[in-house]
Amino acid sequence: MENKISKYIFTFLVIFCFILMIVSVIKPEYIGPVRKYANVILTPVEKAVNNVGNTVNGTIREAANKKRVYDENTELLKRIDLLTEENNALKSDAEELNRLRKLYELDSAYAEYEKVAARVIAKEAGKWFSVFRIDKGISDGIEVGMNVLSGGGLLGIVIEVNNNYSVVRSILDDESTVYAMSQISNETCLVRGNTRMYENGLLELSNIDKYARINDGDPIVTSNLSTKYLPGILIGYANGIEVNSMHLSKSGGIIPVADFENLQEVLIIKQVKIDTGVTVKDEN
Amino acid sequence: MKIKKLIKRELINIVLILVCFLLQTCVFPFNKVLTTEPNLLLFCVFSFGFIYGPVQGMFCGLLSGLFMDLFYTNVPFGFFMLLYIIVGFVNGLFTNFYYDDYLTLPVILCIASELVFNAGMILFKYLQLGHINVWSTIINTVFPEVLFSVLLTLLFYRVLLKANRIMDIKEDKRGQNVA
Repeated sequence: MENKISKYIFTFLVIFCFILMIVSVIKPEYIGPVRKYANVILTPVEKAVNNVGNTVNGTIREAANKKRVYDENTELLKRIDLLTEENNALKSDAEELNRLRKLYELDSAYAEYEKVAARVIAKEAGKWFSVFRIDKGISDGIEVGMNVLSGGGLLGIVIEVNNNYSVVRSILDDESTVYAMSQISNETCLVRGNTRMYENGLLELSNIDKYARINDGDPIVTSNLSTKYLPGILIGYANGIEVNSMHLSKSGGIIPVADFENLQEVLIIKQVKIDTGVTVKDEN
Repeated sequence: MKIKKLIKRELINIVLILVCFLLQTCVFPFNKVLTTEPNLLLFCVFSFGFIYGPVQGMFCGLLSGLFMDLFYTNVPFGFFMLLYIIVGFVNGLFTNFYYDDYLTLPVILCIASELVFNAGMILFKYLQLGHINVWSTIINTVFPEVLFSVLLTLLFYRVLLKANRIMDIKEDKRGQNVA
């Protein structure tokens, strides 16, 4: 008897799920608010759990790393002296550089963007997607389309904002494409997320002209042509560039600068790229 | 009395699922010692289904799926619910073969549940991207997860069972006292 009832419930639920899926694909605006309100409640809880979890994770890691850290510490102390000296020398150089830049009315490329730091509080489980959540939202001035940095390189882009959190898609995700260029030769290429290549620590670099002078080790930065990413942000270094089998273009990999494994704090550039009228169709 | 017991059990289950969900999204992805992340929700759904029957399995599946659907923004709403409900129901059908302390069937069911779930994910990724390297996905994503889940089953299935039995005995005793 119970079996029969459960079969009816099962059939009903399956149909219900299919209807929900169809509705959410055809009319995403119906489902959007539900997700939004549920997440407004869930975010503070997530924040708290993430805090506790980080402490626990930290303790585990600490125990595993104690010996290594101790050795490293003694070595690093030695290096601090060396670096302080070097730093002093560089500081005076930087001052000189600033003066000269002003003279040429050029401004330093990165420092010009206003940035805000945020903490990563939740990440979608498993390796299926590379989308994560940060603890800053509309109330902190975050907007959709802002670029996100980590470890000195491009990490991703804000795809959804809410009052107290926002969602970031990393450039690692299969859906992500970034229009980029070589910093040396200024020739364009396309950086794509590729789960398969990331197993070797690489992103996909494609659409390079056959005659382009992009070589292994060249720094790749976001292009001026990009509609979503601000120009001149370092993405990574080209690796294993080869001419394709059709001999029409070149492609290869790129070693990203951003640290995708230790996602904890990220920087968000508080400036959205203004559409210059040039649209790049491939970009996502 | 029976209803009270049922409500209490459901509440415990809801809390357990919420805890698993939070662990799965807010804690495990940030742990650098583990190379793969356990699918705790799937473990909950499959073991509840197997221990308590299809209705309970479906209820847990519905709840787990709801949490996941609310969280994952690039999946059509209802997709995870569907997967988890199927897993909960199918495992519930095996509840008649449920014996205490018998571990072979749970392990087989756990593997089967993982495979069904991951097949669903592969299918979805294929529909989303138009291409997917199935073989490398299986080796790099599915296989470690299945292995982890089997380990989880071997370690925690008994704990869950024992907790359940203790709860049952307590409830029964309390019931007798009232009577």
